[in-house]
Amino acid sequence: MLDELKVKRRHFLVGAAGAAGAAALGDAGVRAARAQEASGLPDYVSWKEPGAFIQHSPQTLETMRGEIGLSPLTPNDLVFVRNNLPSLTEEQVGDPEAWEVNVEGVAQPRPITLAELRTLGPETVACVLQCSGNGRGFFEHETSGSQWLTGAAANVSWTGVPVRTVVEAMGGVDGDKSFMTGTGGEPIPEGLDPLTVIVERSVPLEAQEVALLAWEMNGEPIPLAHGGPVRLVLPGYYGVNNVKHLKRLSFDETQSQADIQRSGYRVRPVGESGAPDQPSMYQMNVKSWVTHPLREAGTGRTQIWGVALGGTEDLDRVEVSTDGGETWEEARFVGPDLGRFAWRPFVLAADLAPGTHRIASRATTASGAAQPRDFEPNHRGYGHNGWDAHAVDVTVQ
Amino acid sequence: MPPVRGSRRGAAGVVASGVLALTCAAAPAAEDDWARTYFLEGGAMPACGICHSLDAAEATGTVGPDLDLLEPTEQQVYLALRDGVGVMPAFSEELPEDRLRALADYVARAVQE
Repeated sequence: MLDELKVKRRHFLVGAAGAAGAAALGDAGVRAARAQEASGLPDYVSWKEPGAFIQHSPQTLETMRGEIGLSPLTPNDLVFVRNNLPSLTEEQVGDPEAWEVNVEGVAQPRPITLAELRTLGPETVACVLQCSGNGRGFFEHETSGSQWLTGAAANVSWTGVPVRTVVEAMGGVDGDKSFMTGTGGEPIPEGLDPLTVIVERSVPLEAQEVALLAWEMNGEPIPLAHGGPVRLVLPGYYGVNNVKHLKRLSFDETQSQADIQRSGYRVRPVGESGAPDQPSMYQMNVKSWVTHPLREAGTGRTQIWGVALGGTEDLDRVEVSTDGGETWEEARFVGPDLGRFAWRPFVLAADLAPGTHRIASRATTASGAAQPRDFEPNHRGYGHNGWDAHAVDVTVQ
Repeated sequence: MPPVRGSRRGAAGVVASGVLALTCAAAPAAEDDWARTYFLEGGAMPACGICHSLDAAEATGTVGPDLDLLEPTEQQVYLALRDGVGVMPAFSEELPEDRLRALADYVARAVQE
């Protein structure tokens, strides 16, 4: 499958045998064409849908834009992969039911197993899982890291026990704490200061109100590639905060000193280094993008599809433009509303004349926050929600 | 990834190789020696080889991507060193610009060998 999108510069793809290619096209510089053949997924994600991903590296797989349809939830085998450290293996995890999470900073701190977590009152929440750098490839400036376009995002149903329930069972938060910190269980190699690479993220304490210690993803045990057997799920927060293979949950007066917290995932102007006083990639912003059609459409009536999320808010509306933003028409939401943290597929029926149409979408939340036309650049290419860059040029024959 | 390394090299690697051939002059041996040593031993920052595999340096780290499989371009390595990627820290406070470039150049050529 060929997934061709308007981008601002050449993207070099990496991948398996014969799997990736990049070609330069027009548009005052460079456009990229991307192709990814069916074979070649890394072993740990070999169960994923073949042909549905762009492999940026063995640890970063982007779901192709056209793979997202009108179902409100993204099937596990289509969910993108972004691992900061290699996923744990079954051998490393051992018996999943015996997996322990050490809970600290509560009145009665102690480890709790997955088996015991199951005995506390479970809940299910649907929420968008999105990498901070989703849309990085749309920025004009050069950025390190995977050049994600739209496919580092999914809508997932998680089942687990609310953090507030666990905290209550352990006597409540001990004292005056400002942060909740999750720590991943990936082994750190010898010779390395653990703070350099450990996946440990602190979020504001109020996040515990919506947080889940999850063990199910879309009705299945969370695959190891997605952070099983227990993952910290933070609805409305960017993916990095949803710590995989959760081994420790603590309530703290200060943020983690791990580099991924201290200087990583910090929003700053282009050219500046990351520092703790800069905004951290916490809550997601309002965003939408069209998923069909992407390049060509037949004459007559076309159903334009897409998905929209409000970040942490309910959506009010999504509008679609077929003329590059000159005029807008309100689209219709499709399927059930799964709550303020989930995305909603949308559809607009359009009669497109022969020619090229620039199709864009623009979402607005209940409080009136709307996607901007352009998004101000930041050094690491985080949080892009500008509607113009996400637009597609569709040719009607 | 499939187990046979030789079969994993895709079209992107070919493109990247072409770009490198056009843009990278041969580095002095002393720079390569420094880059290889730094890759394996690091400085105040951790050595690259603790996390990354690179056949040319006989490095076998498994925390980060296997560079021989990833086949990054010089510019991709440079940006990763300058700014960091995910849990990979930025090296720009430890290494001056010319050293970042020398290390990136070394890695980008090494993965094509």
